[in-house]
Amino acid sequence: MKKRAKDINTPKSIATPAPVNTTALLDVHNLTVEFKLRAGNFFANRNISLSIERGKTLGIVGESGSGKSVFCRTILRLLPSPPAYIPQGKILFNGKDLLTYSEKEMRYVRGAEITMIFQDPMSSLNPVFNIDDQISESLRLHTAISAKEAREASINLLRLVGIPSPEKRVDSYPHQLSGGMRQRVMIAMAIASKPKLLLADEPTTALDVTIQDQILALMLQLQEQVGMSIILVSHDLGIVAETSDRVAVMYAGQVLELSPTEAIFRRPKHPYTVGLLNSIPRMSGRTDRLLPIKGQPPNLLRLPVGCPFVERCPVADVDICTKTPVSLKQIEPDHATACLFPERVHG
Amino acid sequence: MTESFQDTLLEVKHLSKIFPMPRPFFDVLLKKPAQKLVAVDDVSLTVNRLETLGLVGESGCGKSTLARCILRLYEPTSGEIHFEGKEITHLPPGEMRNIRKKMQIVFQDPYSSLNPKMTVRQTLQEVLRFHKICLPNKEQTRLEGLLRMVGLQVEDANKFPKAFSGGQRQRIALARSLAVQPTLLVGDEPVSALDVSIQAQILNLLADLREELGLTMIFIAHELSVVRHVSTRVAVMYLGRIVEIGTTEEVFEQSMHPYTEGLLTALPRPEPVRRHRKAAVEGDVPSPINLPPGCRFHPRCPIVIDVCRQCIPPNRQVSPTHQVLCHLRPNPQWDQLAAED
Repeated sequence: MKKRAKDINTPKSIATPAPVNTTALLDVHNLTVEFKLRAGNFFANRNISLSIERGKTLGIVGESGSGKSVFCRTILRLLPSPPAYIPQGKILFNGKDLLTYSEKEMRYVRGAEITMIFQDPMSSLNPVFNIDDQISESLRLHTAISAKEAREASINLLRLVGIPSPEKRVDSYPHQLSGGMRQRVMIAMAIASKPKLLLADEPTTALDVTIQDQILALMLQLQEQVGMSIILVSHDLGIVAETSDRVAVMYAGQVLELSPTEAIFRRPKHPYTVGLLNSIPRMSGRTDRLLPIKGQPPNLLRLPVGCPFVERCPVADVDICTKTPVSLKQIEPDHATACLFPERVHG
Repeated sequence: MTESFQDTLLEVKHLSKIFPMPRPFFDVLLKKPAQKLVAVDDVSLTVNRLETLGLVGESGCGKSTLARCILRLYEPTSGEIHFEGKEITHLPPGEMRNIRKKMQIVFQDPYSSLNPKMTVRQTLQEVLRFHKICLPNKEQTRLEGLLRMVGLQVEDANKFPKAFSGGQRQRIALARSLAVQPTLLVGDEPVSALDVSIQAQILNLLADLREELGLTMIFIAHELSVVRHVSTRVAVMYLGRIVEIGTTEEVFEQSMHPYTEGLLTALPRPEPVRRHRKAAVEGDVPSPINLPPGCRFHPRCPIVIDVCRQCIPPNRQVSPTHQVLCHLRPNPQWDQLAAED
């Protein structure tokens, strides 16, 4: 056991990190993920370029099927191949491309440098091991400590994530905890190794409003203490607005708009973002009718060459938009949109 | 028929639903009493014609159970349900069938609430025939009318549910419920499983249908912004009890109950303002098997005083339409007292 831990701890290529010339912790270039299925081939992620700075939060919003979870899993290289292939792209983490790592090196990155929390805390915890076993496992895998020390560390982590009487809870099994507590345990596991990047894939979607509020508050508070970066994936614009520094809007596998949170919500520059913002009922003021986006989300197997949003877009020039491939373009300092006609978009 | 009778469509009086929990064999040997899960506890409310009553609360607060008791999909443990002035709490199944024609429900998950082996036509025909809604020769016209009403194409009638997306399936489920021309439509989280852009389409459709068909609705959701958007009146539930009920403005703008306030603060808003980084309501929702005594909210309440821990709070009238289940509110001086405590 100890030997294994040592093995993973010091892969030679990671021991001396390459000099970093950018401030970005994670820099994704032109990442494309293709799924090859019996039904056909499609791109779950197309030409994604994103970066995230140290200690900051990037929010990714998008509806189901927009490729936001695929993006997170690709960063950690969790997708099985087949069916998932990465025909092009780079994922620079601390200046080094994760796509060139061996499986062994990746195992060190996962859980030590980059960790992830998933939507459903019940199915991501192992039901037959108690909380101590599960937190200690991740601790002992990456640091050479005894079981007793790991238990102490687990209790401290549980206390840190706000679980009452952690000395008792550490011996509980997942089914004995509520949904909110399980998600707290997941967070404890995720921050156990003081990661540099936390991927949170819809971390509060399965939780109630008041519990969601607690979990978000906890995540931001821990971010300050640990100084990690967070990628927060959510379908809820409210969550992203309140927690993120920057926001990427995804649709059909592409990033359609990327900018600081303030600008996305105050001056959206893509018709899809505008559509999303108009679709949600507001708590302030009363509107009799919502302005939904017309039509249905596109079938990924039959996407047009051009903009994936063209069929539902109110400002599209159908001839041009269906044929011209779109990519993010800077239209203001630090505000990029994939729309070919951003001047027609009024939030 | 008196005026007030006309106005009230549904009246629920002191309704409770208690589920007995399975009793472990050891408990039987020790003659321990079976545990009980109190899902709905002494709930009284009225629903007036043409209004939309929103029911909000977190999971396990009993909002779905309450709705199912009203439709008698569950048998209430105690209490009375009056529909159109008639008590329906103990109606035999045969008579209940006629009442069900007037009250329908749409469920949350459009994937499991439609039979995958039946085409849209078969799904709708089944309802039309069972309730003898129209003559067989009028069936086709009625069917087309229904599909058009919910925004589907006539050609869609011969497709199976798997051919449709979530939003479209919810439209089919809606068409099925509306086929019998109900007076009361209960929506049990009808838009919660849908994406934002589709959710807005269905919400608009519901608003149109309510107007066109003169529907009275009970709309259950955990999303406060959605409830605020659709409802004329709102009831907030917590652990089986309605803690606050009033018009939408009263509940959202002048909320009295600390739980309602907590919910409103906890709600993330799509405004780019970095808010508080302190949780609005601390603690977990207690288990409905081991309910706290007194006020159910007291273990999490920020303004709790001693009396809350022992006595069930009275139902206080704030205005003719606004009621709150709290010892302290609506008494501002009590708040002060609690702050000094």
